[in-house]
Amino acid sequence: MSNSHLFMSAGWVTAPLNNGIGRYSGQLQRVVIKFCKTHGCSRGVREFVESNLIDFSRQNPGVAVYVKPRRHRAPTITAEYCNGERGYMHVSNMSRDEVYKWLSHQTTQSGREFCRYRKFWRTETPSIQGVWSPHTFRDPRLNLAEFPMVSTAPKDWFRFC
Amino acid sequence: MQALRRSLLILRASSAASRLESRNFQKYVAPTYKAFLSKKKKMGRLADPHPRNTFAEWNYDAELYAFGQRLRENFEPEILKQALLDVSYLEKRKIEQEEVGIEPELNLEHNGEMANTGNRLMSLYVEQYLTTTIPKLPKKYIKNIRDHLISDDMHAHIGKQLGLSDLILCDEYPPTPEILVRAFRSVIQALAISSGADRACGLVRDLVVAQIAGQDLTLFCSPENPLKELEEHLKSTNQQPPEPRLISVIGQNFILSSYDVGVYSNKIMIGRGFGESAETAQNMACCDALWRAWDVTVRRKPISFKLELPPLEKFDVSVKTPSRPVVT
Repeated sequence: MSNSHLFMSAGWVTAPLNNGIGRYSGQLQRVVIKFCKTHGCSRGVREFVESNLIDFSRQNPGVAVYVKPRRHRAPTITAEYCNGERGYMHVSNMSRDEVYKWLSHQTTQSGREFCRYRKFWRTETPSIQGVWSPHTFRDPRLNLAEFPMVSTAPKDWFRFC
Repeated sequence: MQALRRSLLILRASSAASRLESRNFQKYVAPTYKAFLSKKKKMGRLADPHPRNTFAEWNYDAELYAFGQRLRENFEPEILKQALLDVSYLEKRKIEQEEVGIEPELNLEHNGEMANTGNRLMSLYVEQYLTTTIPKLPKKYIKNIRDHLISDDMHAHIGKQLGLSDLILCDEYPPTPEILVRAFRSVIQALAISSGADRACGLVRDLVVAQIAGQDLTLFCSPENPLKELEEHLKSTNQQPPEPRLISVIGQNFILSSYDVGVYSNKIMIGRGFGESAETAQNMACCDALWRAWDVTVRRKPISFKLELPPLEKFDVSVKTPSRPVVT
């Protein structure tokens, strides 16, 4: 963990609502695309709106798309997720394909706040054989032993403790 | 002397390095947060989050369509709208109209009735699904799991994660858990009305029942008197009565003592448990025997969440096919 992660919350890899165990539902609920109709830095977004946006909408009917032209401002994409989080992205000077790729990338996200992963794997049952107890792997000879017991095999003495 | 000076120099350098590497919170953090807080207090209500549906980029019909498509279901827009109309919204509108001097006249109906019907459908279906997938578990423990799945907390959580907070028409923003619970239950009922109870049951399976995936079911089925319950269970299945036996003790009369007890029936071990006293260990062993018999242990085969069950009418005769409300 580096110093820049001090304010980042820590967590585990999870899926919202056990998504995918029943049916998979995309977590992106709406997208607001803001761009300028004349400025050069919005060119890629304009081309995307002209030629790819309808396809994108047809492929992702679960995403409500809003297009908002605004004069002489840098183009941005705001992605809003089902859990209420939102992602904000500057897409100045990006090409049409890049915009399409970033938008498709947003559709695959869960919308969970970025967090530092404690571990890259997680399980509810870490031990398959069962939890260790002091009774595990006891020597069966103890069942028939008579106490107090004097061990004749010094190299085995610790096994009777 | 020279050696001493050199060592002092090295010491100084090393302490400077450790100061640079220390990971404390920076000095600016507390003052910055304090400034944020005082500005928020000055702003008053303006600092509250604005409801999403007051934004310029908001199309309610498109949002409702997208909501249905996300769940891969076809809702009838009018019915879904009614399902998302909370009673607090109507009351607020009524008060507003009275203030202006108009006689309150609203043809809208809130989702209270739909929520109740939806909850009933959900509770029946969840019970049916659990009885089918965990057939050996007695009914009272099935009801424990069902109550967990149809609890208010669970439904508020699901409703929030589905993104209902923005879609509900209500007085408060963000909506309170009660409003979310009502809305989620009515959405299920709205689907039952739009596309039939079977589709609604499928949605309940995928959203509600799937929440027990990977959970420890033994938490919901802990008998109060395990030995008595085990005796009854063995009697009903025509087996020999249980016989608890001490397998081993470690650290007897010590604060960290550990007892290992096995429960036998007809000289076959049916359960094993540990505890800090013989009594606790025996109770745990009886619980273990029961859990093995009921097939709810951690090592059971995972529950399937893809089952298609026969229609609810066959499970409970009182269920009627949902009828459409009269839209005025």
